[in-house]
Amino acid sequence: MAESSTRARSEDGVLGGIAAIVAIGLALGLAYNYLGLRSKPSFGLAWLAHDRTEDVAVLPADAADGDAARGGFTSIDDPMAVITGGAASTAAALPEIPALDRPIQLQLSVAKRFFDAGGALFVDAREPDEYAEGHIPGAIDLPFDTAATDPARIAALDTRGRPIIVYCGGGTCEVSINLAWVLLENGHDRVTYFQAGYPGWVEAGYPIATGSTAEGS
Amino acid sequence: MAGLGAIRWSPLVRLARLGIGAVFIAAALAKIGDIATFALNVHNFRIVPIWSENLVATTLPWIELVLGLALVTGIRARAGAVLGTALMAVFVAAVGQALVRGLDIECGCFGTADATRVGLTKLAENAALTVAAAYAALRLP
Repeated sequence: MAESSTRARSEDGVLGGIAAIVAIGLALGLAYNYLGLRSKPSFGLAWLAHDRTEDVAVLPADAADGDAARGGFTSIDDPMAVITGGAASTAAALPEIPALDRPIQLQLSVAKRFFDAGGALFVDAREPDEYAEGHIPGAIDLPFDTAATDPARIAALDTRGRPIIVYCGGGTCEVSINLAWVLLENGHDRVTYFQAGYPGWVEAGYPIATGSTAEGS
Repeated sequence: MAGLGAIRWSPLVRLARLGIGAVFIAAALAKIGDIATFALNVHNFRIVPIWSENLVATTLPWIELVLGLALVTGIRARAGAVLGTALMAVFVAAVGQALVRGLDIECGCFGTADATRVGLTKLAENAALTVAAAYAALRLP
């Protein structure tokens, strides 16, 4: 009898304790991030209300030079979705990639046009062994995990003023978009990716290279 | 009734309490240092509504920190253990659903310090922590 009533009281205490822990945690988290206790970077209320579905911009396949500047971008709900459709542009000029604060998804055919013209720096976000088995000629191997922990590798990227095109293993592979974010956060702009990735590139019959170092870069 | 058993088991309860507490504190501190990345990790699991992802990323590590401190200091330790068990169960479910859906994502469990991808190892690790936390929750006074 005495034991069960002690037990009941202790259960009340546990619930109260849980409520206290959650309340203190919530308060500290919100205060730390939104009341300026965290000096740099301070995310603020705007970040809390930020809609991640609009994080990725898409450049249409038929984009011609200057389309982007005229607002020819759409947003997609799922950055992992492979965008297709639209007639591939046959324009000689490459579409202009604007400096955005978010990654821009390209279609495979657009990436190929940049490849043909040497108009972009290709970055392979996969691991070195996958890269050695086959990659886009001239692409730099920069695995996402390495880039996230070693910013010097990002600083060493020389784009020579060209936009960056990141790719990985296609399908549900998301290291390319994650790496794109890391690149943006570390001072690069005009960062694009194509979700079809290396498998899509191979399937399209585009040229590949093997080995562990970038050739011709 | 609890006499002998309590004496025999108490070091193990203490070990579970301190161990789980330390894990939660370490995980919390690693994430607090880089919430932007943790927010992306949360997004990748695709289990909470998108509008709440940044809120979760902002507050979850702090709840982990407070409950870890409760376990380590012994203040409200049982509440910490019960909440810790619940959180670990949620993490097991999160990793499990990611595996079932075939998501190849980073765990983000320990921020960027731990780049392991979600897989069976992480699932087993989380399950073991859940058991330890549940054990502490049941045995702590």
